[in-house]
Amino acid sequence: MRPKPDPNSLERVRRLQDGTATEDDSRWLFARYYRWVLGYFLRRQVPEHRAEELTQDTFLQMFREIGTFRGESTFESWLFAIAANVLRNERRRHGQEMRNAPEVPLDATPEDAPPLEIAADQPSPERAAFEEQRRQALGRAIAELPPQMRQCFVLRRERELKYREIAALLKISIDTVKAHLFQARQRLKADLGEELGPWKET
Amino acid sequence: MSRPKPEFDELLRSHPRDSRHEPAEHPAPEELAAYHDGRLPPERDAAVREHLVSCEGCGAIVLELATLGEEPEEPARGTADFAAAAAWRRQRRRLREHQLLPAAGPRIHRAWLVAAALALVSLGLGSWVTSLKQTVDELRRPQVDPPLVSLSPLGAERDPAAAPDSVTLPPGARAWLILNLAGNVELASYRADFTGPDGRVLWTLDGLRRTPAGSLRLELPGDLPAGEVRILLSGPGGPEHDPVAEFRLRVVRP
Repeated sequence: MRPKPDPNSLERVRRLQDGTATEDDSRWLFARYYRWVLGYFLRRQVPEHRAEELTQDTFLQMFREIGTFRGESTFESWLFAIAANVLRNERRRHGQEMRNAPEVPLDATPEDAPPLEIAADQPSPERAAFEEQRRQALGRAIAELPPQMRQCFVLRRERELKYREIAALLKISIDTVKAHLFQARQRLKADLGEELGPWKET
Repeated sequence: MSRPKPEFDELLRSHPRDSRHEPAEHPAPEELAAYHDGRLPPERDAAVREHLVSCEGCGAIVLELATLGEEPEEPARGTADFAAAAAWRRQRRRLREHQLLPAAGPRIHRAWLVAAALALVSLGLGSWVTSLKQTVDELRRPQVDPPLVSLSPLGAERDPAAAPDSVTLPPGARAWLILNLAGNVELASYRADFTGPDGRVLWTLDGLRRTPAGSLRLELPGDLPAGEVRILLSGPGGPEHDPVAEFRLRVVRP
């Protein structure tokens, strides 16, 4: 759970921003939130030694960017947004390292052997044109959905988010998400049916 | 060639999963945090929301903030303070390397604090020494035949209704008090509480020990007020828990 907004923190942040802070202000802020931030990384299955390093990175970034904090969010939300960003970069770096790992060669084929060719199942030109027309029609229809309905549809179809994730991201209820997705399907089916003709019964 | 009837679900499935384009610019962490806190004005709130639909990275940050509220209390109850202190030392080193560490504190401010503390200590010491000197002077002052009052405990040996023994104490004079305890239980040490007529404790003396004769001998304080004084003798636990005997004395101030 995020710590509750603490007015004492804001006072110290203000002093750090206007240059009247002492080392004790920095130490206080660190001590105030250290366990929260460390716990955040540990709960996300970051190994303990790495969680400690990411905690240090988070606070370093916080102190470095403290001059940019305008008070639009709570200080606690801002700190945890920095931590989430640090975690995202860590996961991205970890994924990047995995992608850059040396590939294990398959059993070698003779160098003089011709490369394997896989015959593609190529549609006919007419079919390809029809498919492209459908895709463009769908794209237009999605773009014409009401904003929140469209956002729900895109997050569900393209990002494959769960209902509660969509609700959290758009700050609406899960029931509203479900309603939007149902109505989006109905509207798209109706709008595209006009353009593409009657749908095949399933 | 007739066009086949499309199946709607098949059409939806054909919609590209990754049709979004990663935006070139992103809101600052504070703006994402403010969006989550619901503190952005409507226009910026809408703009951030639209950005989140197409930006997986920023969306992940907002989702992280959202899930924080559902998590249990921070788990670091078991984290020892020394671990946090060690972490601060490491952070402090990094802040110093990046020149992000504020000054330890205004030197002149500390010097004033130290000076003020020293001044207070000096004043306190001075006044203690003066009082000590006065006591020594007082004790050094010769007194011929200081009065000696021998008291017996109330009860079996003395009638509580009888007039108490008295002692005349001119200003600055000393007097000796003998508390007779013949027949009373032997304790390692005793405590004497002198109380006035209103029950207020005027003086307390701890750690009294019996003389070889079995009595307790003590010097009366020179500032005892005139009037009747009750002397409650007790063991180390005090008169409520360890009562031994009660004496009465009348102090006369000429």
